[in-house]
Amino acid sequence: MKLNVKSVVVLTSICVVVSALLSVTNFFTAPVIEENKAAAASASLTVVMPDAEGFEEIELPADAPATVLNLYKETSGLGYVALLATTSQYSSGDMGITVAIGADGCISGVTLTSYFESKDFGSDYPQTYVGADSALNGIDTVSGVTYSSTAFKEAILDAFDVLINSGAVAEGEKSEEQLILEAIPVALPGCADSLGSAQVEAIDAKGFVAAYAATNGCGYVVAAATDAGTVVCGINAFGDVNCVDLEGNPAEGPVDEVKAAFPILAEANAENNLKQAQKAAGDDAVLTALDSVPAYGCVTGGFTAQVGEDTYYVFNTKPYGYANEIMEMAVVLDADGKIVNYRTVSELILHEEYYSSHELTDKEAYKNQFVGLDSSTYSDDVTMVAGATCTANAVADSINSAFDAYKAVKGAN
Amino acid sequence: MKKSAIFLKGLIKENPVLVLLLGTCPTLATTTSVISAIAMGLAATAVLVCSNMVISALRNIIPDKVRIPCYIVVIAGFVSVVQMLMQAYLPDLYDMLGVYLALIVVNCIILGRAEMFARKNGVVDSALDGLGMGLGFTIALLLMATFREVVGAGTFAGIEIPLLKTYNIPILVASPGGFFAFGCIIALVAKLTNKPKEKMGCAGCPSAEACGKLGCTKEEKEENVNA
Repeated sequence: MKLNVKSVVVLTSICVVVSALLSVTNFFTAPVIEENKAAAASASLTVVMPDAEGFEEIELPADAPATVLNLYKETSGLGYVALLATTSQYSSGDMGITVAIGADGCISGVTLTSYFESKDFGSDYPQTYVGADSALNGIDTVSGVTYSSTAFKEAILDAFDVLINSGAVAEGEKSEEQLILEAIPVALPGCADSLGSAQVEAIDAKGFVAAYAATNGCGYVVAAATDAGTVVCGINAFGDVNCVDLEGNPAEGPVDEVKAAFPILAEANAENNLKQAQKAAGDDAVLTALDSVPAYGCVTGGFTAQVGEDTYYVFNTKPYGYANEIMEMAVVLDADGKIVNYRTVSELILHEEYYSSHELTDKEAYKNQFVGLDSSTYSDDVTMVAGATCTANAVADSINSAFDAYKAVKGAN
Repeated sequence: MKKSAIFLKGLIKENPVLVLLLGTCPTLATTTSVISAIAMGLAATAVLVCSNMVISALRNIIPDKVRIPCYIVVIAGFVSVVQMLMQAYLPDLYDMLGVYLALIVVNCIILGRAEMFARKNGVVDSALDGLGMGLGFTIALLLMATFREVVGAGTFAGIEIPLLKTYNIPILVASPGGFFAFGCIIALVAKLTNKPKEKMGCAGCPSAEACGKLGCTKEEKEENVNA
């Protein structure tokens, strides 16, 4: 008993003395360590702003995007440096970016401090941002490394947002071409991929400012000059036209000229659309092509299907899936707008690895869960599959487009 | 034992790395460069000297039952102090050594000397033992690192060596090369020290005398050799 007490006392005493020793050491070393860390952080900042005299950290506003980790102001007024961290959809870790934005609102230096994506967009890509203002005029994402380069671009824009909102730098002016490209997904949402970027190809302008064809065949987009300024008009597969101004607000446009200039894609692709719609609706269904569907999703064809006395609606859709591959689906809705059948023409999941590791091993069960849902009971949570986000987004886009088309048809009638 | 003998035995005769084969993990890990090897060696020496002295001073106070926890607390305390000092005043070396600096706590050389020597000897002797063993550890690391860095990377302490910079054997700075260099240097030291062949087991252990257990006293050892 006596020995036990002694053991406890001795061990405790040693612990107390050692703790005191550590406290004293910490008292003297902690400030030096902090200084070292600050100096190291400052050194990483001078990489992008070599002429800097010093930096002081600025407190981030409460609503600052999560991608902006720290913001520093150069003490002599050269500008600002932001430490950014973002993730692309497939990367295994944060992409670290340090960007210097001069007092004139232009990027003076940018470097990638960490990058985990297997597909690299190259060391030259970040340098294309040098000299650009917040408009990022002429800077595009990298084809084939879309997610990473988009994440990079978004992170840079987040840094600009924080500085512009706090009045530190002036906003850059976007070119008309940029504004047109940004308005395209608003005028014709069906041509946008899951990141919201328009997937279009420039075509013969036919007298308009510019003209584009959606790569998934859901329509065309034209930029047209009007008395009120340039407007961007989306023409869906049925020839319906939706015009917006360069701010993305609804606008009057040369609807008749636009309609006359482009073919009606639903008619041009009628044979394939009918074939797929027939398979989705069943052999008993008598299909009639819809003339007008004033909705602008990824619908490429539409039919009414008469089965006995019951009327159904069948919509062909072509959303963008993994790596922006165009997927093809047909959605059958009943007269009340509830999903009756959901048919995938192309493989639901384009990449086999998802089959083995995710819920989509049973595609039929996955699709059957949509049956009976209408626009009020459906949510994107139903379609979401972790690890197969692109395909799940495509399925959601397909269903939402079909619901929009149904509402447009019912509203028109 | 003479003070000089206590100090010198750690350098070669009972070198903790090359003869006692203790501390192999940090030896292999930190000998990819001469600078990190010296830093690790000196950090371990500082901890070894300090912990030996404290443990020796407290040897009559610490109950046998809790001696290992007491030793660990003392050693961990000194390691933390060294860590904080290095982080503050030698940040580059601190970053270079990384986790291996903290792992000095579980370096068996330090706990081994506390258990084998410091708890049975006076403060001065223990300090000399710690210093000798620490320098022996540092020398072993330096030898290993010199071989690996010069032949493996063509540099010495970061300074490029003409010809070797172009014609080197990179595997030596990788893990397999570490084991290879370790084996070569142990063999070399064994050859140079020309140890008489002794019986396997306790009697053949270089620490048999200090250990004093399992019939390994000096007299018994001599009997075994003569048998």
